Amino acid sequence: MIIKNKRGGEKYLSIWWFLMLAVIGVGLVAGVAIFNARTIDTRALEADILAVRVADCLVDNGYLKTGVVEENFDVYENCKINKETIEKSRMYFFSYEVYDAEKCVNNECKIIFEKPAYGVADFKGDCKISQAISAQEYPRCSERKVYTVNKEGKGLLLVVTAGTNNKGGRISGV
Amino acid sequence: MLGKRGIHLVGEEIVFYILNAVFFIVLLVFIFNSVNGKPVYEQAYAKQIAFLIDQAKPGTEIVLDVSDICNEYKIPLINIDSAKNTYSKPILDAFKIDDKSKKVIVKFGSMGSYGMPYFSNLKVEFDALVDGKELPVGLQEVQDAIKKKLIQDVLNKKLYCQQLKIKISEK
Repeated sequence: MIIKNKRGGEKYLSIWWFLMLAVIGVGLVAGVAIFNARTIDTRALEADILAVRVADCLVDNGYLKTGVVEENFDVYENCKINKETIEKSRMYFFSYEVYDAEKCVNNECKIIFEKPAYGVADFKGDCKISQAISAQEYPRCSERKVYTVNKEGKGLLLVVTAGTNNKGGRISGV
Repeated sequence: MLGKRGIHLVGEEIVFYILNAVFFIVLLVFIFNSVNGKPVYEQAYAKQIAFLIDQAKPGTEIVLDVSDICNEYKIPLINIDSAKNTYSKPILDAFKIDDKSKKVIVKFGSMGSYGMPYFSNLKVEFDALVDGKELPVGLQEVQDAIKKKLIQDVLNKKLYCQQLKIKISEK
């Protein structure tokens, strides 16, 4: 049977063709955007750097610096750490404790001095969560233990804990 | 009238092919611009430099070899402004220190940049080096140095940055 004057239906299928192209295009763009937006997670390394920096500046040639166990010791000035970055950015935290290394029982030593946390104090607890479970938005912490002595020759244990949730970020228009 | 349907059909097909071509050209341009990895390299360098600054003590000078990135993204060694009789170092636009916000800012292209905060309170300065040496101060000296020693691509006479010096000192 011959049907005359029939018209092809291809032009009506072109809508679906462009819809398919749009889906492919959106998928490709989304994939590239997700790849480029991924963060290289260096928080653990940065926390370690902060802990080492604080520990290094509190100990001088094996001796605990004078004034470290006093309330008015200015950590920021002595360790050359920017106070505004730690206090206002809400991305960092560090603290330190001094223990009597000569009075340790079962790896637990008597605490002599505990400095209140600098920065976001909550990070100390949050870090334990991120260590226990996979928690991408929680900070990463590092701890440094340094055996040292004071001027009188008394054995001390300095424990520095530092944490960060600094991921950096893209800046537009710069 | 004969042939009228044929003209109508050809017009539609042409439009169809043009739209397809536009789509694929736009897609290919986007893909070629995206696969070079600029955002990833910006992030990597920003973090690397920020951590170097955080670990450094006063008096430290760090020389970072960035020649591969400079060659990849064609960052010139210097830009000479003949009208003002001066020159600038584009590497210092690619790698910046924002002392106010305490951030290392790395920018390899025109679409934004990556900023990484650092917590050190020391003074940080960047400079460009070539083969471990600082660029000469005067413009004439720079031009003489280019002619005598620094030309890498004789045919195109293009010079790309090589090393970034990071100087950390007391405030």
